[in-house]
Amino acid sequence: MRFLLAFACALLAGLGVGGGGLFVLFLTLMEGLPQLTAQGVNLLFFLFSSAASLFVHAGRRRIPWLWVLWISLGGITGALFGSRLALALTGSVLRRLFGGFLIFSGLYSLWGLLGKKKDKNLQKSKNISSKTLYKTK
Amino acid sequence: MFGHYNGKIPVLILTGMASGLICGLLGAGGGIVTVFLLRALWGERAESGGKDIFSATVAVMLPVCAFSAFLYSRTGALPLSYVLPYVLPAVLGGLCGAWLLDKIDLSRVRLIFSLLVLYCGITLVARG
Repeated sequence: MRFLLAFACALLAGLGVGGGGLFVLFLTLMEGLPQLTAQGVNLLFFLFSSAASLFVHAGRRRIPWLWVLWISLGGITGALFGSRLALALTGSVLRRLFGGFLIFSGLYSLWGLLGKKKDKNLQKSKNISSKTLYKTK
Repeated sequence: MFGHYNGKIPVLILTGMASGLICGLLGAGGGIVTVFLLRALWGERAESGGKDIFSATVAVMLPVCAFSAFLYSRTGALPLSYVLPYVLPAVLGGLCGAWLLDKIDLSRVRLIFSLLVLYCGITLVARG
């Protein structure tokens, strides 16, 4: 069961859906880990999962390595502040912040889905109007 | 989209800082912040449906997560014994997810994931 849930979270992360948040939830709610420990375990979990994903992505896509370098440099600086802040906060505050992030994450994902649906409808109406134009000619 | 590079270094560093801050603070979520900011800044490439941005994000999150995990482990908040049982499913899931990315329509998975995450988020904020 543990294996399957962890596999599902890594699969979602590899698909770009975002399994990291769910894995932290699994660790806190089902495994009973404290919030901070669960976050640390998730970081290492994602390290293995993203290394495996990157292996496949690098073979298929053009990854802008110079961009990656600059964003990562900023990321490492940000992580320094973020982890210090995490250690200074209580578990309850961290959980609430994490909940707020999940709400943002869910809304962002729904917003992306709605945007794609609109694009599809727009494309359909364009196709219909071009067909009608073709027939009248 | 990734062609032009000059003059974007400060924006790239700031994008990284925002994602690193969230990653270090919450132990998750750095990826979604990176994707969100890169999409907001440069839009999606229509032909790839944003999958190129996602691939770049995975490459970014690898060193950022590694550094954050290192910082957590220094404080004793990360016992390695908790992680070991999850290494194999993490690697297998990561490989399968990346392999399936180009092969399946993710709309339904995204919808279920979004609703589940929203419900969990609201519950966590309400409970504290």
